[in-house]
Amino acid sequence: MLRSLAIASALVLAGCQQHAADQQQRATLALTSDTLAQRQYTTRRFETKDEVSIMAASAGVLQDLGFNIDETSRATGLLVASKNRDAVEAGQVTGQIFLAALVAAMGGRADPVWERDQKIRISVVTKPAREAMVVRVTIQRLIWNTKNQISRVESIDDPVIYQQFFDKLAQSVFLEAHEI
Amino acid sequence: MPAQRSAVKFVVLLLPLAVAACQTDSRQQVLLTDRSQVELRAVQTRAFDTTDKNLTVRNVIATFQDLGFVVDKADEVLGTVSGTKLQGYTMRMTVTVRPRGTTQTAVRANAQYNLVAVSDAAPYQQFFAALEKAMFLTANEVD
Repeated sequence: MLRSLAIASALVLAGCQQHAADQQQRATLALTSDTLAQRQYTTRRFETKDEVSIMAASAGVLQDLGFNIDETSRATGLLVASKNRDAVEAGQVTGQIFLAALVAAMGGRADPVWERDQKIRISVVTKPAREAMVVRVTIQRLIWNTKNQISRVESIDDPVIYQQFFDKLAQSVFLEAHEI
Repeated sequence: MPAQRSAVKFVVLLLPLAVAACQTDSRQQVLLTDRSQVELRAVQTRAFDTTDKNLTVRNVIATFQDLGFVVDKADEVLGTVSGTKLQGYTMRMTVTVRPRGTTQTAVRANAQYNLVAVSDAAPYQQFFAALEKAMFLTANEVD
């Protein structure tokens, strides 16, 4: 009896402590073995010393992709942008509806939920390097479900997406340079 | 089982009491900290042997990106940089860069992890270790 009381109170009180997520917090701010690989695919080098033109070209690409620019800082080479988009995925909807139908068929009450919209955030940072400009991009997104709850928050870590972004940037740099 | 039933009853009775013990007025959160100002500053601040503010701010931004943050804002005049990391959790971090004496630059970071302030020394040590690498300089503890 006493033991179960002790265990119960420990459990309950642990809930209000300042959350011993130390381990996780530490991992958040530590460089990992993936850091270098990530740095490589999120970075591209452009042979120019003109930072403003690279920043302008980056703003152009962001607009091309439908982003709105939230913040810019010329002195530090920063552009921040975001866009809100549809996040509905057919597979998820089908799965949820199938599950709901199954539950209903068994006499249960089903409440299908799927991911509905997302906010995509991107920061583009330019940095002067020897005789060149280095551009680095990080992208993340927040997803809301059909109940308006945030269902997922994540970093975009697909190299292909970055590759495509930089291809567009390379094109934009070319376009800016030639004023088309 | 009567013993189990009474244990359950105890937990049910205990729950509101225990939860109530945590927080009675959520407005208190406005000024709530779990460490003293002096302690917090020591944990969150490092001094670098450089006077180049722009370079320091740019290196802070680079470190943010290394750690998977999206940078939200940066201001070179004030020397402030804020960023967010989303990886199943939300970490928000602000770094300020300001001159310290005539030969050094002080860098201070503070972060929140979901709904909790990060006040443990270890995460900041990790952050400054990453920043050191970007700066090619040693992060000196300040008193």
